[in-house]
Amino acid sequence: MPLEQMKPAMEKIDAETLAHGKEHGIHIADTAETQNRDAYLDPQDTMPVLGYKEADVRAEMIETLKKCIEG
Amino acid sequence: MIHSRTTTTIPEGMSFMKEVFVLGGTGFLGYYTVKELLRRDYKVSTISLPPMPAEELLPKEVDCRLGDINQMSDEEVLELLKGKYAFVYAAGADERVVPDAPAMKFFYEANVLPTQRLARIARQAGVQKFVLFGSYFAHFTEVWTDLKLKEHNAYPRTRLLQEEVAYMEGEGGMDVMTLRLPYIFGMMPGRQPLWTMFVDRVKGQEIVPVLGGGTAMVTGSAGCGSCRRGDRERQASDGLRDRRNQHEAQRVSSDYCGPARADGHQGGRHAAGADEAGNGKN
Repeated sequence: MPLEQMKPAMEKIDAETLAHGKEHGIHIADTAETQNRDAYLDPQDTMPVLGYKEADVRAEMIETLKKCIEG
Repeated sequence: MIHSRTTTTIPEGMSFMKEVFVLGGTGFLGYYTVKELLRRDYKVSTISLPPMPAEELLPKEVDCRLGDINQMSDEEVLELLKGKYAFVYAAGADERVVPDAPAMKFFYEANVLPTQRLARIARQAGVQKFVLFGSYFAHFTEVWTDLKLKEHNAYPRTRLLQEEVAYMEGEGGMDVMTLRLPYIFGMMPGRQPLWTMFVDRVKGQEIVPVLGGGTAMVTGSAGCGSCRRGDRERQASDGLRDRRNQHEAQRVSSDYCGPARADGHQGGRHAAGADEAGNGKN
């Protein structure tokens, strides 16, 4: 969904949150801005230095989400 | 076994066990860090907030204490850290917390001040490596300058400040490394995955609006690699040194993590409306 369509609702959430005396560490409207971009990282920047290995992230995600649903 | 900080010759067949202190060893990241450190033959101690998430979560050889290190005196912490080779900071508040306004005060007190204090004491105690588990929002705050995230958002601003004070406290006497961790998936005994709160939000919904971006995702934990690599491959680590001549490792995961294939690692889409799930910390 385009950011322009969603951001006004996000700004409203921020205003309501503040009205209740709370504040997000990253405002929801700014979160939307970041979620509209590719926050990708190149593993090769650090893999050779820190020596970690590849793993099946997709499988781990599925198992994690299953656990979230099943409790 | 011969422990750290001795110049005694190690008899053949005996291993030299360096001691690592993990703050938050019963949390998600800390738990995997402890396991990885043990696998690499480090001696490990930890302090975590109670309660213990599961009985026998950590092997008996781990010196595991429950308590709040922030309530301990400087002298007590100093004593605790004597003889430790490395300190892994796997604790603190992430952006899932919605504090009373102003959020800046909360995250400053929750993350920046304790980090500064503990890094200072760690250096005084002779700790050589200080590994801070941070957030990849620190990285993207520096990259996406047009968004001006630091101006209004306490979390990325204090994450950057947390790094900075750790570097300064270590200056000239202790290597300080920050792992700017992205979204993390995985499970551990006794704790529901942090993603549960987000899954609950979209449960039963026919349509979940999603924005056009994506995110890096990994599994498990990091940190151990920093201790080890800083130790064995100084030359390689030098490539990550920042202008203050300290080590800054960004964009990291661990042996459990897997920025594996590009399609699996970087294919995530954000579910709109969900808070950032952050670091999976305790």
